[in-house]
Amino acid sequence: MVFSSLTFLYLFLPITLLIYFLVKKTPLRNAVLVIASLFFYAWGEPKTVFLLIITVFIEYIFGILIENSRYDKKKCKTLLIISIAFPLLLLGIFKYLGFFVKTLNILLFGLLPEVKITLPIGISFYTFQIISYVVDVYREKAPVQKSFFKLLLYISMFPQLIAGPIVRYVDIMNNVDKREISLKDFATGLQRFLPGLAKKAILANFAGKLATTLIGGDLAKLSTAGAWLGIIAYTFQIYFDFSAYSDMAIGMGKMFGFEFLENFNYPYISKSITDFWRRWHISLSSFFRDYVYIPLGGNREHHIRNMLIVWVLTGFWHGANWNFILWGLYYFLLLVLEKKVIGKYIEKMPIINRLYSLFFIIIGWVFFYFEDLGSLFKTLGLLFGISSNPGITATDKILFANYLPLLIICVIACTPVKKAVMTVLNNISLKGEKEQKIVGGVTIVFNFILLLLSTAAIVGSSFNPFLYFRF
Amino acid sequence: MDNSEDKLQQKSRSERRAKIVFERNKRLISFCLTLVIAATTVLIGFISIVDKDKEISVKENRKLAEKPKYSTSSFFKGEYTSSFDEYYSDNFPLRNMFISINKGLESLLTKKSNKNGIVIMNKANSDMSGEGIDKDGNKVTKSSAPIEKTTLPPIEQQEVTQSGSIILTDNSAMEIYYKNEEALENYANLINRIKNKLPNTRVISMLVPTSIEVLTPDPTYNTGEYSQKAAIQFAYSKMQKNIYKVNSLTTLNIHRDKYIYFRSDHHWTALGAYYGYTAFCKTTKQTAVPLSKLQRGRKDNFLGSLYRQSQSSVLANNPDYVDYYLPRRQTTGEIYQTIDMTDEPYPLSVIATNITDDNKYLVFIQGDQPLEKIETSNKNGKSILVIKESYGNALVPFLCDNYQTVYVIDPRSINGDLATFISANHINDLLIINYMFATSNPTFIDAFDAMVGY
Repeated sequence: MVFSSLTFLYLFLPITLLIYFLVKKTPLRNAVLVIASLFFYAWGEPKTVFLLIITVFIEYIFGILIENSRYDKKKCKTLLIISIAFPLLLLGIFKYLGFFVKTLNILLFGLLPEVKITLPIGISFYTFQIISYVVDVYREKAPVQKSFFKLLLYISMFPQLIAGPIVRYVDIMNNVDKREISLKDFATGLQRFLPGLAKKAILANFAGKLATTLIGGDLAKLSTAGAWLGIIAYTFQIYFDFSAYSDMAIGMGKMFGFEFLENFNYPYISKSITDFWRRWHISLSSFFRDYVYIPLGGNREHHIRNMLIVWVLTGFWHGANWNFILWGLYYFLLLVLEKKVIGKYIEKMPIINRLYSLFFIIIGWVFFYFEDLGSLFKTLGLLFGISSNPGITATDKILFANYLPLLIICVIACTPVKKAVMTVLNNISLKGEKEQKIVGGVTIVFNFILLLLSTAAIVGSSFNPFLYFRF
Repeated sequence: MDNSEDKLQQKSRSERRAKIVFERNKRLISFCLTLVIAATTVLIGFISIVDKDKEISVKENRKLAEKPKYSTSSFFKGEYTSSFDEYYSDNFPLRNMFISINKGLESLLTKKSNKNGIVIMNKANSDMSGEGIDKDGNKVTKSSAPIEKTTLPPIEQQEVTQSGSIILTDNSAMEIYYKNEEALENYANLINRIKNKLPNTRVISMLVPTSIEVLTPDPTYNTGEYSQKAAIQFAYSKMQKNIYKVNSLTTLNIHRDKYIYFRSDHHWTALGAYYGYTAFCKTTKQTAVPLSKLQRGRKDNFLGSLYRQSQSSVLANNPDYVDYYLPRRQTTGEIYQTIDMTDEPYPLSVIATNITDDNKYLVFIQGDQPLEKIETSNKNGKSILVIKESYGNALVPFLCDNYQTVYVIDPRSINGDLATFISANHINDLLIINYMFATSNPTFIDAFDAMVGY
């Protein structure tokens, strides 16, 4: 099931919330949430839901074994290694085996049979989540969870199961046993969920249409201007798509009584590429930092080697294809460059540093978008005018003029305008009861309109996939 | 001193009171927000469960998804859940209202036209397959029950391709054409191949441009890579000299101020087809029947393929009409499913004047049928086979004036060897008529290729 679908919004979510709030006790609420979450997952993955349950169960056992082997450091460590290897092995099979076989076949001249395995949705996310749990138990950062059921709740919670954020056990473990959801919390959650929904159903999807029109088809006729407009549209699409999913996850988490950490922090106003990776998919980069980079030595020993490993893995996590590895390497090079050479100069150049960042971020998305390397390099060539294709066509001008209102809104939505607006509104409501009620009324009407427009956009589109859905 | 302490206490008390009021109002607002959103979703959700399912969407010209039957196996295959999502979406309450709101949103954000009034849009996926009309002029869809001989099988093939763009002017829609020389050369070779198997048959190629070539609002769309004129010339240059090549473009251009193309459909009108027919006659040295000699009729309120794809209100406010011209000869027609014509045929009207379906273009020879045989009262012993997609449908009625027998084959719905068919039935002329987009449409080309054979 997808958040931006009618089945989810008008059947699954209202029914789940109704039942959840009808049962008052936390253990019952946990049961409701687990059952609903497994149903949610099974709706899209009727067979591999069992893979999810089995993986969590095995890791649950490992967690207990690790806890009980504290006296024997060697045994403890061995258990940890196996408990990390097991889900990674599953991830490797389900996500990467086909790719490995394909690559080997190039060297073996097609000897091996083709392997095509459907990727279970969310496996990249829940694999990392369960690994973070066993490692935190090992490091004694988190107490072992003695109830399999509660561990399953943590992993399978539907707001964050399919596309993140990669929630750490330590962040929600207190809420597992005790949750109090006030009306204010619920309303706050709603006010996070609904704008996220609109961001996805309207902004991301419409930007996606522009991207597909330009770079989603035959590149033979694509002009330089068309390539730029197309990749910029994609830049908007992927940000709104993914961050909207996190918004909805955080909003729904709040409605159910859980606090998830922020996953995006206005990445397109970054002042450097280093800054960008502190703002984009924060839960992933912090996972790699805490569970790969620092254990390998961080910036203390083998700094460059560690960065290389982390960035190749980051790229590869996003997709079983060479273009994703290239994307990771691309950022590795930029980050090393910044760390070792230009970082301190970039810092001191306001505006230029933001333009510099945007430029490289946009180019980065070219590596991310094209899984076919031929198209990838052709588009790169196009962007820099190295091609026989025209510079600009009438179609490009018309498309730009048509989509201009959307593009303007997209640009605004990339900036922390919302914060500024919220501050202004808050100051107005502090002035008095009447002002507060007016602002409140406006908020209610605004959110209602968002719901209406999002529903209309979903009904109006027959095809509404999430981009980060290959995880 | 007491006074100032009092004042301080008073101030902090009123501050506290204000804070309590603020928090209380905050709760009230939270409550109202929750209530409004919950009420909306629960109400709509409730209606969606209890309301009756609809069968057809008139607006979208298609059948709506039916409620899927649950079975454990279909659930585990994922079929049940995806069918359910589709069914739920198709039968969502106030669906048409939401679609209209979405259109409004789209126009606001993505389709402001520029000063030339041109808007470009992606073509939406459109399911144009499986439309047919029976002898009573009523629609029959592919998924109907077993067909009796009094009704007709499905007939309109999917032609408007899945990718590409449409431009919308202030009163019409047109599909953007891109010249594909590889496809054009391949097409020309097909024509050459069939000619080489038919030394005694006159083989005529007729490539027809669409409205964007003739009526474009912006010269970009019919020059350079977009030029259908250049594409036609290129294709003809790759055909052998012993193939007759019809220049329909010049005639259509001369008459561009007349209603020769539909505004909301990718086809030409019967009038456009007539001008094409005159060009055909000129090439094959025949006499074109004067238009004035033909009885005419009209079907009003036609919104065609490009409307279905764009849902543009510009088109809806200015619908097309379908004029038809009845052949002056007496005609009797039959529809066969197999190329050896051994099956029991369905009846065919060259002009299906009793059509009730929305897709009024189907009035011409009842749309795309596998094999049609028309006998006319012009007993001159001459026969022609027309290989076509739906562009040819509007032209065939005029051919009934010049031939005793007119065969029509749509390669997409029939198999068989063309050369064998032509010699078995002693056919004099072979006309292959296609609009430019068909030359790069794999469905048509592959089917035609298979019938040409080696």
